[in-house]
Amino acid sequence: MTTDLLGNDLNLRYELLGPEIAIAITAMLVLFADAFRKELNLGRFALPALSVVGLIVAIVLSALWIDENEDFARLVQIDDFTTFFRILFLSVTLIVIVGSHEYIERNVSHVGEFYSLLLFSTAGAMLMAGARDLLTAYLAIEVMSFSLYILVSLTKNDARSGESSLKYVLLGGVASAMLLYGLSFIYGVGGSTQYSEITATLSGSTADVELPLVLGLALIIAGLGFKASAVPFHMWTPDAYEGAPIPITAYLSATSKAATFALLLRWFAGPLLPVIDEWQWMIASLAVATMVVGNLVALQQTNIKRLMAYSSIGQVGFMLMAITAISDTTGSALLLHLTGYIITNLAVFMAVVAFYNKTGSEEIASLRGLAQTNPYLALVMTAGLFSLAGMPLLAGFLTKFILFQSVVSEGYTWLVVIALVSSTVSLYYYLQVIRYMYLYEPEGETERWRLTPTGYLATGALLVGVLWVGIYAAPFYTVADRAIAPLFA
Amino acid sequence: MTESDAVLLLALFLIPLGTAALLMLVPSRERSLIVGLTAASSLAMFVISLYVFVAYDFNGAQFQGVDAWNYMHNVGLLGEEGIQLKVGIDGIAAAMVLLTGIVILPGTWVSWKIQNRMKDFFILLYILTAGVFGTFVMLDMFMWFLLYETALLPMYLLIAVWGSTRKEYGAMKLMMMLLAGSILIFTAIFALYAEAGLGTFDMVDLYAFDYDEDFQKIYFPMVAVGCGILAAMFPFHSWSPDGHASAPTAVSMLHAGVLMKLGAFGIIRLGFQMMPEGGEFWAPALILVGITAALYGAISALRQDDLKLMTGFSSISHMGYVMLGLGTMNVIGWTGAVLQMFAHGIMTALFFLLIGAMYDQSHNRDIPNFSGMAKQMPIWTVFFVIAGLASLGLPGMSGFVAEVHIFIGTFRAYPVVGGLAVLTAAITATYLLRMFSQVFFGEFNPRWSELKEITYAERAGAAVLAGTILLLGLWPSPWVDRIATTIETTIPGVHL
Amino acid sequence: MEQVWILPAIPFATFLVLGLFNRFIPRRGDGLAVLGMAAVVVLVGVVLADFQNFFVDGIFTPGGEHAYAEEWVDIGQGFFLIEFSTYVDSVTMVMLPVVSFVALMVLVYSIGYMKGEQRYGWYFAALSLFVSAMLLLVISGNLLQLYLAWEGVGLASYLLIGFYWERQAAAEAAKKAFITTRIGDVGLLIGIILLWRVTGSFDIQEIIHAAQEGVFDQTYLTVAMIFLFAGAAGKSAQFPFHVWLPDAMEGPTPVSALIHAATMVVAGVYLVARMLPVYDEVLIARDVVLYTGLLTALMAATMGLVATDIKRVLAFSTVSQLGFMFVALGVGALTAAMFHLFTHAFFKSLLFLGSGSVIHATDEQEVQELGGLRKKMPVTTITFTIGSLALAGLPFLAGFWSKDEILHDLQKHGPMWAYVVLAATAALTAIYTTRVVLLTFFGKPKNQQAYDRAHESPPIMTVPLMILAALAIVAGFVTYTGVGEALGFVGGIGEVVYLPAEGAHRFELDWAFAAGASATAVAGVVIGVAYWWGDAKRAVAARNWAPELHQLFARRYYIDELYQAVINNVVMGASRVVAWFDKKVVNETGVDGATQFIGFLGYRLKFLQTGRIPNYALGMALGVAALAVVAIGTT
Repeated sequence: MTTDLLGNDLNLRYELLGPEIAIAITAMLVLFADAFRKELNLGRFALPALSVVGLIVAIVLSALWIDENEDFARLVQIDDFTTFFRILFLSVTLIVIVGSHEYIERNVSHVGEFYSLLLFSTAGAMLMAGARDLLTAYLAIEVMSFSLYILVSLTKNDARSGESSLKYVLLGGVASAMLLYGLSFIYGVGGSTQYSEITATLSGSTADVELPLVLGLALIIAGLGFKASAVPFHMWTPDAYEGAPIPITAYLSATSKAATFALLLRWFAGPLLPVIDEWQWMIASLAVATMVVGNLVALQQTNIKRLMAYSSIGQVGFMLMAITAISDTTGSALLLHLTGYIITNLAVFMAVVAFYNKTGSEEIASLRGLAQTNPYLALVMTAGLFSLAGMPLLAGFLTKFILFQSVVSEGYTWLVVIALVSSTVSLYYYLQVIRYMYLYEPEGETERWRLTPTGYLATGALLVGVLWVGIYAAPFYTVADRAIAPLFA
Repeated sequence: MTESDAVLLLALFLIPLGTAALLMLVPSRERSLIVGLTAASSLAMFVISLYVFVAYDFNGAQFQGVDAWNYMHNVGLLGEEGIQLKVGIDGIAAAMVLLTGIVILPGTWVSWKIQNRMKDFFILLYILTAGVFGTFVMLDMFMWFLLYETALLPMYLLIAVWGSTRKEYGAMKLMMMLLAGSILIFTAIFALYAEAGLGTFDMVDLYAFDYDEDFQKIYFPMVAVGCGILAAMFPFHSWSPDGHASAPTAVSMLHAGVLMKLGAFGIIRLGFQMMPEGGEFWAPALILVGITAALYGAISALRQDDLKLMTGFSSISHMGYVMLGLGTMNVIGWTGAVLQMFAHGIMTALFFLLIGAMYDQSHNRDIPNFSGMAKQMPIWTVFFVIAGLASLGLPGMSGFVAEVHIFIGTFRAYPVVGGLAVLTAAITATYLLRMFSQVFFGEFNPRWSELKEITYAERAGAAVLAGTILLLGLWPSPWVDRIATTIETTIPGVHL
Repeated sequence: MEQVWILPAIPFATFLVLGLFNRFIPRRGDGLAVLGMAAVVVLVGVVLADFQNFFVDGIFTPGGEHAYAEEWVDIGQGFFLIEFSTYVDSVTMVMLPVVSFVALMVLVYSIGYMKGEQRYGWYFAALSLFVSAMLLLVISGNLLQLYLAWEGVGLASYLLIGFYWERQAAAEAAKKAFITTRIGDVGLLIGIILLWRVTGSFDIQEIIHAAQEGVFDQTYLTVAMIFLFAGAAGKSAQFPFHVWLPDAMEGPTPVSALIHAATMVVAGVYLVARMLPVYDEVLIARDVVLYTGLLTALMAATMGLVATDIKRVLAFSTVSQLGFMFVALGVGALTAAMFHLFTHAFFKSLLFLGSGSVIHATDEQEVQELGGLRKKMPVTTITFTIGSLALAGLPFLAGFWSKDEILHDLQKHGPMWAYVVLAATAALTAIYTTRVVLLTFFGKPKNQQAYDRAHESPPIMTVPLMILAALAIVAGFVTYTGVGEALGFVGGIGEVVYLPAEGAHRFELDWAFAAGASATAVAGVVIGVAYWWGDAKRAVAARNWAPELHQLFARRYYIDELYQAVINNVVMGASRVVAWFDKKVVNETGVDGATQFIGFLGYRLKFLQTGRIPNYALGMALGVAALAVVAIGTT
C-alpha cells in the first residue's frame, strides 16, 4: 500500500482501470495496424474487428467489478454506477462500429484515426462516469471532447463537416472555459477537488459564499449544458449532427449525452446536493426551455439528422427534469430512461446508416415508400421513432412513464405536464417521417433490397432491445436501481 | 366465473397479439394462410368473450376471474406490489368484452377483400384489438393505460394507409387529439398513484383508498376530459367525423364500435370508481355536455351529405346519451349508459360495414347521388334499415332499450333535460328517414346499375350484428342483470 | 284468456315466414297469411266467449287482469320493472273483433287487388306484421309494451305507405307519416315516463288506481296526460298532426282501408279510452281532448268537402270521424266513442275497399275524371252507397246509432255551442259523402278512357265488400240489449263497455233527439244531391261565389305549407348554423388553429439557429447570465 506526499494511503490497484487501459491499448494497436496496413496486407475488416475485440475484452473487464466499490488513488471510484456506464458506453461503441463499418469504409477519411479516436473518446466517457475528483472529471471530459472535435470533421468530401467541426471546436472551447472557471469557484468554495470533501464543506453553512457559489454553479451548468446540448447551449448540435459522419452523430446523441448525465448525477447527487436550493431552479428552467424549444423546432426539419438532433435536445429536457427532482428513485428512473433512449436512438441511427449506404441520402423525403422497398428497415425506423414518441409496447413508453412518474412523486407535476405536452408535439414530427415510409409509393427503382449481415445484426439487436425494454423492462430497471445505489449510499 | 377463467381473460388480449406476431412471419403473398389465421383467432376471441359474458355471475363478487402476475416491483419508486399483470372483469367490462368479441368477427371478415398489403393491415388491426380487450380486462392502472395507448397506436397507419378521402388529415388529427387526451389521463394516473402512496397500481386497492375530496374535484375532470376525447365528448369530438369518414371499413367499425366506448369505460374505471366524490361533484357538467352533444350531433347530422359524416355526427349524438346517462348518478341512467355503449357499438359497426360495402364498389358516399338503391341492393337495404331503426330508437331494437333507460334515468334527475333527450330521438328519426327516402327509395338511379349486392362475408357479418341488435332489443335482461347489479352494488355514489 | 298473447303471435309468425321465405312458398304465401288471420278471428271468438265469465250477475269485473306477465327488465328487485303483460277488458273486447275481422276482409280482398304486384309476398308479410303489432297494442297491460306495439304499427304503416317506393311521392308520404307520428310519440313517451316517475310502475291499472287515489299532483298529472294525448293525436291524425293521413293514401288502397281507416288510426282513441279514468281526474286535459277533437272534426269535414281525390275525401272523413270519437271521450262518454269506433271501422273500410275497386277498375282516383260508373260496377256502387249513407248517419244504418250516441252525450255533458258545431259537422259529413258518391257513380262519365276501362271487380274483392256492407247496415244494432243478448252478451254495448265509475246503462232511443239527428243527416244528403246532381251546376256556382273559401279548404288551411316552411327555415336553418359552427369554430379554429399555432412557434424559433458562431457564443453567454439571474432570483 503506497502513500502520497502527504502520507495518506493511496490505492493503486491498476486493474481497477482495466477497461480504460484495454481500450487505450486497442486504440494504439488500431493506429499501428492502420500505419502498416500495406505491409501486414490487412483486409477491410481488420480495424473494426480489432476494435470490436478490444471492446469485448473491455466489457468483460468492467463486468469483473460488478458489486465492487473501490477508489483508484482517490481519483476514480469503481462502483456499480461506474460499471453501469462503462458497459453502456462500450456497448454503444461496439454497436456503432458493427452497424456502420461499411459506412466508415466509404465515407470517412483517415479510417484508422477514426477508430482509435472513437475508442479514446469512449475511454474518456468512462472516466467521466467514474471520476471522484473535479480535475479528473475535467480531464476526462476533454479527452472525450477533443476526440469528438476531430471525429466530427472526418466526413469525406462534405463541406459541412469541416465547418461544423470548427463551430464545435470553438464553442466547445468556450464551454470548457466556462466549466473550468465554474469548477475553480467550486474549488474555492468547497476547499478541495475531492467530491467527498466538497460534500462535507458544503453541508455546512454557505451563507457567506452565496455569490461565488451561485456563479460557479451557473458556469458548471452552462458547461455541462453545452455537452448535453441543453437550450440555450444547444446551438452547435444541429450543425454538428448534420456535418458529422452518421456513426458519430449516433455516438454524440448516445455516449456524449449519457456521459454528461453520468457526471451531472455524480455532482448533483454528490458534492452539490447540499446546495440543491441554489441550482434546482436553474436546472428546472433549463429543462423547460430545452424540451419546449427542442420539440418545437424539430417540427420544421427536413433532414433526418437535424430532426434527430432536435429530438435528442427534447429528450435531454426530459432527462434534466430528473436532475431537478434528484433522488434515488428519479436517479434510477433516469438511468433506465437513458438506457431505453440510447437503444432506441441507436436503432434509428443504425437504420439511417443502412439507408444511407444504399441511397446516399439523409433527406426525410427520400424515405418515400421504404415500407415497400425494405419493410424490415421501415419497421426498425418506425419502432424507433414511435418509441421516441413514447408509444406503448416500445422502450420509450415504459421508461418515460417511470421517469415522469418518479418526477411527479418528487412533487414536480407541473414540470411533467409540460413534458407531456411537448412529447405529444414530438409525435407529430416523428409521424411525418413515418408518413413518408408508409403512405407514399417509392420513387425510382422499387425492387426490394437487403441490408448487409452486420447491418441486420446491429439493427436486429437494437430492435429486440427496444421491444424488450418496452414489454418487460424489469431486469433493466433492477440494474438501474443497483447502479444508482452507491450515489445515495 | 372462477379464478381459473383469468387465463381466458389473459388470452383475450394475448391471442390477437400473438396473431399479429405470427402474421409478421407469414409472407404477405400467402393470402389464404392469413385469412385462415385471422379467421381462427377472431373466432377464438368471439367464443371466449361470449363465454366470459355468460359465465359472469352477477350475483357473485364485483370482480371475477381475478388473477395477477407480477410484472415489475420493488425497484425505485415501485412498491412491494408495483406493476402487476392483473386481470378481472365486472358486469360492465363483461358487456364491453362481448361487444368487442362480436365486432371483431365481422371486422375481420370484411377485411379479407383488402388487396393492398392485407397482412400489414391485419397486424395493426389485431394490435388495436389486443389493446381494446386488454383495457377492458385490466385491473392494474399502469397496464390499463399501456393497453389503452396500444389501442390508439395503430390508428394513424390504419387510417392513413388504407383510408379514403382526406385520410392523412383525418388520421393526423385523430392521433394528435387522442394523444392530447392521453396527456390528461397520464397526469391523472401519476397523481392517483402518488397521492395514494400505496406503492401499487392495483386498481382494486386504489378503489379502496379514500382520496381527498379537493384532489378528486381537480383530477376527476382531467380523467373525464382525457377519456372523453376518445368518447368524442362535445366539444372534443371533431376528430371523430373526419376520422370515421377517412378510416377503412373495419377500422371505422372497431373504432366507432369499440374504441369510443373505451373512453366512456375509462371515465367509469378511472373516474367514477376512483373518485366518486369528484364524480358526484361534476355529474351536472356531464349532463350538460351530454345533452348538448346529443342535440348538437343530431342537428348537424341533418346537414351532412356524406353517409359516413352523417354516421359520425350521429355517433357524437349517441355518445352524448352515454354522458347523459353517467351524469344522472342513478342506476337506471347508468345502466342505460352502459347499454348504450353496447348498443351503439353494434349499431355503428353495422352502419360502417354497410357503408363500406357500398363504397368499395361505388367510391361515392354522397347521399344526394343515390336513389332507389333498394332495387339494386335489397339485402343491403334491409340491413341498413335495421341499423337505422335501431339508431332512431325503435322499440324492439337495441337502441330503444338503452335509450329508454337513459331517458327515464334522466327524468328522475332532471325532467326538462329528459324531455330534450326524448326530443333528440325525433330529430334522429328525421335525418335517418331523410337519408332512407333519398338513398333507398324513389326512382332508381341507373348510374349505379353496376353495383353488386353485398358479398356473403358481408352478409354474414351484417347478420351477426343485426341479430345482436334484435336480441338485445327483445331480450335485454341478460345485459341489464349483469350491468345493473354491478352498478347498483359497486359504483359509489350511484343510487337507485 | 291467459293465452291471449297467442293472438299477436300468429300473425308475427306469418310475418317472419313470409318475410324471409315468401319466394319459396306457393303463391308467395298469401294463402298462409289469410289462414293465419282466419285462425286469429276464430280465436278472438273463443276469447269473446271466455270474456262472458267476466260478468258476475251483469256486473263487469275484469278478472285476472294480468292474464299473463313475464319479467322483461328488472332493476333493483322491482324498483324499475318492465313486464310483458296482457290485459283484457271490454274496451279490448271492442278492438279485437274489429281488428281481426277487418284484417281478414282486407287480406282476402288484397288477393284480388294486389294480383301481379312485384313484392306480392312482401305485401302480405308487412300486413301480417301490422296486424300482430296492432293486436299486441290492444292487449298490452302496461304502457311501455303498448309503446313498443305503438311504434310497431307505425313501422308497418311506414313500410306499407312506402310500398310503391319507386314513386318519390310514396317515399315522401311514408317519411312524413313516420316523422309526424314520431313527434307525437315523443309526447307519448314523455307522458309515460312522467307517470312512471310518480307511480314507479308502467302497469296501466296500477297507474289508474294511483290517479284515483290522488297520488298525483293535479297540474303534474294534467301535463302528463296532455303529453300522452299528443301521442294519441299523432297516431289518430288529430290537429295539429293531421297532415300525414291524406298523404298516406299513397299506399295501396287495402292498406288505407285497414291501417288508415279501421285500425291503426284508432289506436289513439283506444289509448285515451284506456286512460279515460285518469282523464276523468284532470278535466283540463280531458277538455283538451274534447276541443282538439271538435276542431279536427270540423276542419277535416270542410277539407273533405272540396277534395277531388276519392281516397283523400275518405281520408279527411276518417280524420273527421276520429274527431267525433275524441269529442265523445272528451265528455267522458266511453261507450259512445267505442261504439262509433266499432261501426266506423266497418263502413269506413267498406268505403275504402269500394274506392279501391273503382281505382282497380279505372286506374283513376280523381272524382273529376270519374262518373257514371253505376252501370258498369253495380256491386261496388251499391255497397259504396250503403257505406256512404252509413257514414252520413242516415237512420238505422250503423253510423246513425253511434253518431247519435256521441251527439247525445255531447249535448248532455258538453257546452251547447260545441254540440251545435258537431251537429253541423255531421251535416257536412252527409254533404261530402253524397258528393263523392254522385261524382263517382252517377252523372255522365267525364273521362271516356277511364269509363271504358271500368269493369266490375272479381268476386274475391266484391265478396268482402258485400260482407262489410251488410255489417255497415246492422252493426249499429248491437246497441240494443236484445241484440246483445242474442249475440251472447249480457246486453247492448252500453251494458258491456262502460267506465266502472259511471256504470252500465241500457240504451233507450230518444225519439225526439234521433229525429233531429236524422233530419240533419237527410238534410245533408238533400243538399248534396241538390248541389252535385247531374253536372253539379250549383256546386260550381258556389265555388265561384267564394273562391277564397274554396282555396282555404282545398289548400287545407295552408297548414302543410306552414309546416314545410318551418322545417325548411327553422329546423334546417338551425342545423346549417350548427354545422357551420362545428366546421369553422370548433374544428378549424379550435383544433387546426391550435396545431397551426404550434407549428408557427416552431417556425419562428427556427430562426434563432443562424449558423453563425458569434451568435451561438452570445446565446451561451446570455444563457449563463439568465441562469445566474434565475438562481439569485430564487434564493
